[in-house]
Amino acid sequence: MLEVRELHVFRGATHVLKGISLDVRAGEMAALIGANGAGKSTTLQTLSGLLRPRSGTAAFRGTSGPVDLTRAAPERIVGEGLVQSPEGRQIFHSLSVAENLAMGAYLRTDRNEVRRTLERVHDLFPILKERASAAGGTLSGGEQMMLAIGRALLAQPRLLLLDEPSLGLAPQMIERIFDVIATLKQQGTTILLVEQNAAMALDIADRAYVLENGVITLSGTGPELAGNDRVRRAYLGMAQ
Amino acid sequence: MAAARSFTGPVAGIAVLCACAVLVYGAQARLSPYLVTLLAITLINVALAVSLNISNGLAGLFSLGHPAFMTIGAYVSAVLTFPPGRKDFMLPDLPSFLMTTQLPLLPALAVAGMIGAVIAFLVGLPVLRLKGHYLAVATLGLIVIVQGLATNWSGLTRGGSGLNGIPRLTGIWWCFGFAALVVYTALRLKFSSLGRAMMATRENALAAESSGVSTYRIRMLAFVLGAFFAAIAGGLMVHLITVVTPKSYSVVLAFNLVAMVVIGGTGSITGSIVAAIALTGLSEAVRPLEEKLGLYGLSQVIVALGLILVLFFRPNGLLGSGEPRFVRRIFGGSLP
Repeated sequence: MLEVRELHVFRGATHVLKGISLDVRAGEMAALIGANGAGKSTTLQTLSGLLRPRSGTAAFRGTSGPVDLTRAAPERIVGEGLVQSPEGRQIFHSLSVAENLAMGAYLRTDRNEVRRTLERVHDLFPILKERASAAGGTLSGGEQMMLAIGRALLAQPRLLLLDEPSLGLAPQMIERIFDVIATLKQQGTTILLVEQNAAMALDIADRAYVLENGVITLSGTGPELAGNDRVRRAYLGMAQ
Repeated sequence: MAAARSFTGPVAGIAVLCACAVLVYGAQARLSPYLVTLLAITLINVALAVSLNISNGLAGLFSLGHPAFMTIGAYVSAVLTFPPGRKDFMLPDLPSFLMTTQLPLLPALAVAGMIGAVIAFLVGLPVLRLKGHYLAVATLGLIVIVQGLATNWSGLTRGGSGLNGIPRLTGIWWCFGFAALVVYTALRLKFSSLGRAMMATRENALAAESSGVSTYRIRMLAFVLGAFFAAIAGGLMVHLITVVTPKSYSVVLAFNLVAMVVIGGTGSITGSIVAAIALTGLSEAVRPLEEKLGLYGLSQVIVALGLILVLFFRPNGLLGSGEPRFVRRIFGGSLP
């Protein structure tokens, strides 16, 4: 569904991504793990069309056919079903919860379909229904994360990009968010998860990539990487 | 429930419109011509503040360009409505196709609005791609450019002495209709998906892009729409005052309009209406005092002081970014 080859991305003069390649197949959960500054968010922003690569290819099988992510406009990419829930939640603070969710469905025109998705999001996160008219900024950190994921789901993603959903949340809340991510995967959403919390990510991922200083140094299935010595030492905090 | 709301919404809106119309009718019948003209100017100011609130409030831009668009609208509609006989005398160097045309007010205003919108589009083309407050600088520059053009392009504008004796084609009802149209458009916009996209762009451009909003296009739309209304307001004003000079609409006016938007609450249409009425009334009420005490510019000082006080005690303005309940009830309800 997503095929990235030899992607080079610069931020100003800094060479952030140095030729990364990765694949996400339909129905699977892929994880991209790595330390701060490895280039994880840069990867997702490039896939969403918010940053342009210097070279390399990124192809996505969208709703209406193949999409060249290195050229398509961000709104076209969203319309084709590649939707990102950006790092740090990035909800609209002064808009109500209901308006935040409605923004997710901005490009969709079938109101009945949208209403069905909204019901599904309310089933996943009942708190969003209870607090529908509250301003987004008044929600707790965990609730804001739910809102950010819910907003992304309202765009009806074929491939959902999640950027650090565990960032700044209490351990209990992280558990709940990851439960929901597992549920989404079961319901058939393809997911590319970016995480620093490698243990949680490898636990639920079918396929995982380790990104270090803009280069993919390891790849394999979730359990393979979780068993790898280097990963255990560097990301899982385990001694040999 | 939903059916009941969609029934009471428009009906309540029309009721409010009729109530305002009755007030205007009463004012026109009872008040002196001076006060009726003042009321007409107040209504134009309401339209100006509300239209500025579309770009500066809803979309979070910082435009100071309204006086420039008003000047453009004023000259365009004045030249288009002048009787050819008077053009021979006042503007002998006009191109011949302008010399012979004389349009009624409505098409002249439409042309004025279009030209204002096109100019805004051209300014926005490079500037709205930039992040930060470049638009404030660019629109400030636009005011100076337009004033310079109006002063020196004498074949079209009669230079620094300006145009006078413009037919007085506008009355209180034109101003009322226009203000109602602008307020209606702004409120419909605010409670639509497009208006939400504007507010989302203002709040968090990255998240808006992630939701599939082209923030550049949204900003452009807000800016051009504000300029369109501003140019028409300029046209209405010139047919009310019957005089226009290159200095008629200057940076001071830009400041006053921004003050109205900020005091009322950036993003609050109702707030802009209230603030526009209050500030227009205030500066007119202070005028006799200015003359008696010789303190010219007192109203400007009061407006500026009021702005500082509001920013200090209510940084989000009187109404923040919201609308009172009855307005929400009339226009709200477009959410899935």
